[in-house]
Amino acid sequence: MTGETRPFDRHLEDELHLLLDPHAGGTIPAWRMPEPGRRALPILRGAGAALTAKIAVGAVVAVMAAGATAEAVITHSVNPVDWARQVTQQVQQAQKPQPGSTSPASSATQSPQAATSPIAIPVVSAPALPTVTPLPVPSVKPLPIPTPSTPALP
Amino acid sequence: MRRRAGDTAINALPEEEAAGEPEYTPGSPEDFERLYRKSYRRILITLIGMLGDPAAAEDCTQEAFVRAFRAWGKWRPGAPAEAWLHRIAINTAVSHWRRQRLREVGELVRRLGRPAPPPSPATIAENSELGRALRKIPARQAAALVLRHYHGYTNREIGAALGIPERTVASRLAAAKARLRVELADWVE
Repeated sequence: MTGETRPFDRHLEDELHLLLDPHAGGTIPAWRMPEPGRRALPILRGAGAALTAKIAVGAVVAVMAAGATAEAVITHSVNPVDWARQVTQQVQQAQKPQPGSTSPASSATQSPQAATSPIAIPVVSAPALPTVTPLPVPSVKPLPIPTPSTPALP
Repeated sequence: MRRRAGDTAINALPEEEAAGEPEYTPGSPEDFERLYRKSYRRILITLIGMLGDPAAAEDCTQEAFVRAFRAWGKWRPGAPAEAWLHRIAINTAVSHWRRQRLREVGELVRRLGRPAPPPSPATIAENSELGRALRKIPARQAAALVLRHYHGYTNREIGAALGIPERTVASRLAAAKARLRVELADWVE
């Protein structure tokens, strides 16, 4: 310690005692043991909470990245508009009747030879969806709005 | 480092220290209570020096002892118990200090254009020149200063309390004192 710092250190110690000594004589509160059941889960507080949040965000990002990669591979495009178009096309193709498919009614009336043939592969087509006719929307005629007549001034 | 007459007032049970205390057993509630009674005031003083607010320091001290009790089973008898406690308490106080700084910024933004509220009696008590200067330096530097120049800890003990090497303690103390010299320019002159 140099001669210059020694007076400063001494002064610092004196001032620290002036500042902190008044708090040194207080009573010590009685020690109460913390209740064992009141501790929060470590994943919900402190560093555990930060880690949990990071893992959750990481998992969401990983799932989204996996989905985007799969779509890009299937459609050979990184454009999400192409992905949507591809899905629309797939749905439309699925809705079209297949050339070799038969209706459930006709498959039920297949000949017994065809049914017992070892190479016959039963083609099951999707059941026809029932057509639903929309209910007529009742037309509502607006009621005439009465125009208030101003009383004639005398 | 000189030990002052005031040191006896800081120690909770000086007669226990003089008699030579038995070792602490990790996880023993009785031993923890003994450690609590022995070190409470020293921990509180360190945190008052760091935070400058006796009420906040008391809250942090209590919180630190609760944290320490939960980790008491993992304490290794080879490590000095009070330095271990100081480490937990200083970390607790640093977290409080950071939250307090954020709150102060929020208060400042909310108070823009309005007169500042009058300071509380506790704040007035801590508004000495040194108290203000200590609050301007980083909390861990303030802790090192109080441990060294008030409690009279060695650099090795401070290193154990702050979880840093002994050499870092020396540089941290030098940085803290250089900063204080600037803040307390009237002292030096």
